Amino acid sequence: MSTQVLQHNLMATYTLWWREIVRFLRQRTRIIGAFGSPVMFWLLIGSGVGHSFNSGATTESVSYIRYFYPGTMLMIVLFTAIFATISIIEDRQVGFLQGVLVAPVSRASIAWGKILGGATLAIVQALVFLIPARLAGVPMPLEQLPLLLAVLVLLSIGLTALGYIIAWRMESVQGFHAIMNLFLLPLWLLSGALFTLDGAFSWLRWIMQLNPVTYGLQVMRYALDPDQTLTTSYPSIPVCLLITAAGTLLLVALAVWMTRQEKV
Amino acid sequence: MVNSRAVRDVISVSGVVYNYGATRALQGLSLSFAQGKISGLLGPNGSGKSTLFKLLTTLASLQEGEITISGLSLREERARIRQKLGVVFQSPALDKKLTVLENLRHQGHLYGLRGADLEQRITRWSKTLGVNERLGETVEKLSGGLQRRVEIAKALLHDPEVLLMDEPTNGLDPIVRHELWRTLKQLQANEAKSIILSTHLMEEAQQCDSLVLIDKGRVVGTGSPDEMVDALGIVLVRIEALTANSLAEKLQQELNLKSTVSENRIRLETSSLASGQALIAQITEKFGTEIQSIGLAKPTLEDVYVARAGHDWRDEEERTTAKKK
Repeated sequence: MSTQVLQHNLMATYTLWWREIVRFLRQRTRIIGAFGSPVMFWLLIGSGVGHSFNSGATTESVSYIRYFYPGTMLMIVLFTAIFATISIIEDRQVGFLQGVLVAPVSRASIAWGKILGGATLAIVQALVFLIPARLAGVPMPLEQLPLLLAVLVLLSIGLTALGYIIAWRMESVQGFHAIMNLFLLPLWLLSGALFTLDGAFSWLRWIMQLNPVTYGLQVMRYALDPDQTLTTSYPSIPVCLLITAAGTLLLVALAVWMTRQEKV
Repeated sequence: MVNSRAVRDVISVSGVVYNYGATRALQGLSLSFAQGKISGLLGPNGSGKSTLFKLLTTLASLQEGEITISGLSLREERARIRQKLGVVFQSPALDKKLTVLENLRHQGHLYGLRGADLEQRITRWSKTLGVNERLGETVEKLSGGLQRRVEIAKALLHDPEVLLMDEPTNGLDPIVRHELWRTLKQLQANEAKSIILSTHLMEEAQQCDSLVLIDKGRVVGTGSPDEMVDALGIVLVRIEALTANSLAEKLQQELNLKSTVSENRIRLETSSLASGQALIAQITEKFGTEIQSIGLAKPTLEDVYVARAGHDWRDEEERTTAKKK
């Protein structure tokens, strides 16, 4: 690929990324929903469940609201990333996507623009959610920040790619929501966000161990709150990070491959 | 290598077959569009226009046959062809949350344009299309007509040789439609663009320099609208009757006249004005009480379609609609 072609493709990726950011900032309801819902979810479930049940997650030193904090951050990443890709369905319905697909740019640059756009929104929102961390007693050691950023980047890119793959073949937004409830919500629920791997039934533990998001959350939990990660059911943190990276790579490759198929 | 035909014809389609599973949408389609002209692809819904449009815009791949655009093979040179095409889709391909300027910049970046060059092009085309004073407004605030103009400006930004438009006036009111046509004529005259548009509207097709008539995935007629109408060499007798089907049967049985019926209208062909007048006198005398109105008419493109396709235009649209349901 010549430098000129590469520059052209990078420009296409940039402009599609930029569009995602501008669209988000111009839709106030999306901003309110993106920041408000997870915080509310965290406060209500964190406070309510913590005092009502023993989820197996709490110890004398770790409250449930503190345990649930990384899970809420994962929810922010998952939902922002996935919702950002709904625009693919809308773009196809109104013809915008077709306009992009007839441009003389590589299909990979189109997929990357869209994925990076959604991922950026997810990362920024997750970082904003760091503000109340100390209130919940989450230690968030500064030396762990690079690890947190790394796993946030991987999870955000991977989950946006997952949303992209689902949205690419979808005919309607309603269908997308149905898939989300059936597939994406369990992906979050069975990641260790709400209850620990150790405390789950054995069949559930198997499913949780097969869920790649579980390992991303474990890294996130370790980066935010190292005291919580003293469990024997998970591989080491570097292995968890590696699994997350491999999953992300696979999903992005699949998203690019699908974009190269001509079905529009 | 560019042959002489490719220079004259900006797009050449030869023996193109396209299937959606077991359904054949294009049946060995062969046609060409001349350089520097406004060419129309006319056909009812479901005739194969959209499939051909998808092929020409590179959204679908060729299955059988060949297409050359500006002398380049669509099979081998898709990337170079994309640079030569400006595409206006039937649905608005603008981001309504972005301003006109942002939409144009976005498009420019997709076509490898940036910096001063891009800004100059935006200024030029927004002025040409009359949207230069609305650059700062979000697209959702613009009228349908203005949005269409922005789309055309967007499609022309990279200075394509060919402007492909899929039913460009769809959903626009008659005044805006008229304005858009004036813009297209100016583009052709001043910018020497080859404009190819698909349409199912007769009045729109009438304004094209040349037409390709398409039916069930095959070409049934080509030429300028006037040429095609004149080539029919007929004068029409049009009758309106409440019981059109029954009257048509009587015309066949009693006067041996073959006609076509559409809703409450009967259409008869005759060879000259004189024979048409004689026919009117004869029909009025015999069936005057059943007739609401009768008169002579010059054939239209719809008549050309009926003559070439062998069936009524509306029948085809209704068949397609029913199939979709």
